Amino acid sequence: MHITFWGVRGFIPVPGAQSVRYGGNTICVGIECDDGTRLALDAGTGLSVWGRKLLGTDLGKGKGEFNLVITHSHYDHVQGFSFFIPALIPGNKIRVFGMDETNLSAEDILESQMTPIFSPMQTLKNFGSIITYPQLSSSGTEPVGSMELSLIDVPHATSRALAVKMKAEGGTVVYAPDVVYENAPSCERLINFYRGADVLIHDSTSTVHYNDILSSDFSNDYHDAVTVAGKAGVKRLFLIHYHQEMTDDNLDSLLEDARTYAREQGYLDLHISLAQEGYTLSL
Amino acid sequence: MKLVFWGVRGSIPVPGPHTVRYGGNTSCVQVELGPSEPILIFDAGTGIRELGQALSARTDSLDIHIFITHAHWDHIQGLPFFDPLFKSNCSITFYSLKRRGHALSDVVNSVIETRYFPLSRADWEARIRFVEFENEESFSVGSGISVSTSRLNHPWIANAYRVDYQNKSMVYATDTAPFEHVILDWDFISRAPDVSQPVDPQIKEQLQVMRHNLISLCKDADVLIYDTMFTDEQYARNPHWGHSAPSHALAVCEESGVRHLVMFHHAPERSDEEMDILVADAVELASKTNVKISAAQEGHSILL
Ligand SMILES: [Zn+2]
Ligand SMILES: [Zn+2]
Ligand SMILES: [Zn+2]
Repeated sequence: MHITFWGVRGFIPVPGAQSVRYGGNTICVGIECDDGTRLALDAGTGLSVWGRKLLGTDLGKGKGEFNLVITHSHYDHVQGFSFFIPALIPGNKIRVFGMDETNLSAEDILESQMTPIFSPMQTLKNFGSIITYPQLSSSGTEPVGSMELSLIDVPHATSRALAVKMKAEGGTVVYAPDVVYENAPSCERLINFYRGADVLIHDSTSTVHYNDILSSDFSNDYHDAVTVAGKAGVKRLFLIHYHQEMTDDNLDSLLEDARTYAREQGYLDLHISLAQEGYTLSL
Repeated sequence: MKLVFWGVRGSIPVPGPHTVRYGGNTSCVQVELGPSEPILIFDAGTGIRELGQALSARTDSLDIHIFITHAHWDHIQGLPFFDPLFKSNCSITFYSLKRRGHALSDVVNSVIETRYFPLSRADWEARIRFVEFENEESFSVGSGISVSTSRLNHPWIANAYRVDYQNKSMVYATDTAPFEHVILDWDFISRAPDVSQPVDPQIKEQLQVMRHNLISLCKDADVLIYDTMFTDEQYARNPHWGHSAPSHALAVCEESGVRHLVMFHHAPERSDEEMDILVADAVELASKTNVKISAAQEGHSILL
């Protein structure tokens, strides 16, 4: 199982010299298995970068299959889909997973971005590939190639979002990009979901009040991420979903502070890293 | 008059080491007329975020005018992140072409719907106004500042803007296909029209009218900022996408007497090195004319 970070930002893409090391694309994490299964976690602008790289594969010839989970409808999680070229190539099959308990379907989310006023594609129906929307229940798991996929809903800002768990031969990966821990019970429920993961890819903006998202002295926060990862006993924590104002240098200090905090809390075996665009971790 | 480039890309923002020089933000150009004059902004791609930060440092009352060419994402996606919307010292007027069934205020509201973005219209403290104009209409946005418009050839119709102020003038013309093979308006065209086939005379005539109007708009302007997303070969393959090549832009300059062409709406996949080559090719092409060519670069400005 290979995990590649294609987009690591929350909110809005940030091009420029200040973001070249960690990356400025909005969020997208790629999972690839040795049997060829591909799954994207979220469809920020990072997805379009991955899409261009995939044109040399079966997806470039209209003979490929691709899977996607969109955790929620905020722009930073969907804005790359219209520029995901494999979705435009007839013959490709794309499955977009959602959860049937949440009131917004992945199809509605994507379709509402493609209306003629906003997109020259005018509707998803013009995309060429065959797009389907399998629904999972919150208790079930779904086989995706050699992986087992499960979803859980998490509290998040004005709406709800999903966290995703993938179990495969090499280990278990959990992805929780946008999560606000409202209270102890909601926290417990999610720690149980994370428990035993080899890798947890976690929001680093979770404690921040959303009214601050435009402020220029905004800083990312690692406390929640370290605490839940420590309590759930995960082996490796990757922080992700950086604010647009966080420069590469700011992120270097964020990592150091997070590691210090983990040591102080007694989570001595927890290995912490920052998601970095273009980096691949193989399990 | 000073033109400041905050975002120069088309389609989608492209962060990364390969776009640091030309810039990776989507379309946004500011026209500065003077410290006490209104602030004019063309399009609200991701470049508008940093412009907003620069403006929000000011505490005096700001009169901001945002001219939208059309509502494709690359021209409006930065709007929710524009700081002055949340400031009570700002008054902001949005402009766009009147599109039946799509009021400008509804379009702006749907860009900031809470399911897409966590802050809502209720958080905006600026005074907001919407102005929708008819095709080819001209109007004034302050004393001695006149804005004129003309239709472009692009899916769901974009329009060009011209600003005249104290004997200086600029035209902002993105996104548009050349006026040669196909009329782009409301329909989705799934297959590329064959550019080697003759064009229906009636369509040809309509295209010529559109082009004639644009050339009148550009007449003797000091600067023309123009969509040059394509090369000639890319245009021939996708004439229905609504974008031009430098050769098309140069022809407009020559016919309208424009002295300086600024290449704009760079294709997302082009690296800085590839851009250098495209610009060199365009400069070569223009060497037989009186037109100066440069490419828009984020953070750069042009003083007229
Ligand atoms: Zn997000
Ligand atoms: Zn555009
Ligand atoms: Zn457009």
